[in-house]
Amino acid sequence: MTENGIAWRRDAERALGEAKQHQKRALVDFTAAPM
Amino acid sequence: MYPDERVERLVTFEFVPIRVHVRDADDVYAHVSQRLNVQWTPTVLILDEDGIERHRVEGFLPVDDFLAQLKLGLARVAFQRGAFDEAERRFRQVVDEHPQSEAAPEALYWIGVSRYKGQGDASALAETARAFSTRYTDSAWAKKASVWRAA
Repeated sequence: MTENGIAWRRDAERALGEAKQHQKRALVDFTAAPM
Repeated sequence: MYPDERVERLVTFEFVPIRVHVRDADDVYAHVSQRLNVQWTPTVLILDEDGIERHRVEGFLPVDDFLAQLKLGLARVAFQRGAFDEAERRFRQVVDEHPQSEAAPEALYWIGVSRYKGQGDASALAETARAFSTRYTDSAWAKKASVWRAA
């Protein structure tokens, strides 16, 4: 996996951990909209 | 993250957002879209606290419909974990706040189911069927609720 891939996975895991900790839901948005 | 203030407010308050852009590194998009079975953009997934998908929105929606879908997803998360009072309240919020949305008849259906499951009150189903006799009469959800008319 590339550095980008590793970074993304780390961010996603952090977000899921944060969602669990704060009893929130995760919203995963797949988009092609301009950044 | 979202240009509309109402969407941004709801997302900030209720969710931890994760964005996956098609222009992300190939391995990221390929890996994540395959793992979550996403074939098209935009697709929005709502995952519960354990990372399990509970709701999916595929394709663009105008703001009001998108908000309704996000709230519908929150209601479904509550329903799935057996929090039926919360689920009923959240489904009702969809009908009350977004009555013209596609999500509203679905939410109306699940209001009845949530009350039935939460309180064991079968009259909730009959009441829901009656509600469909005056609202959303041509929806698929009205057909599904029609079996409860005699309940």
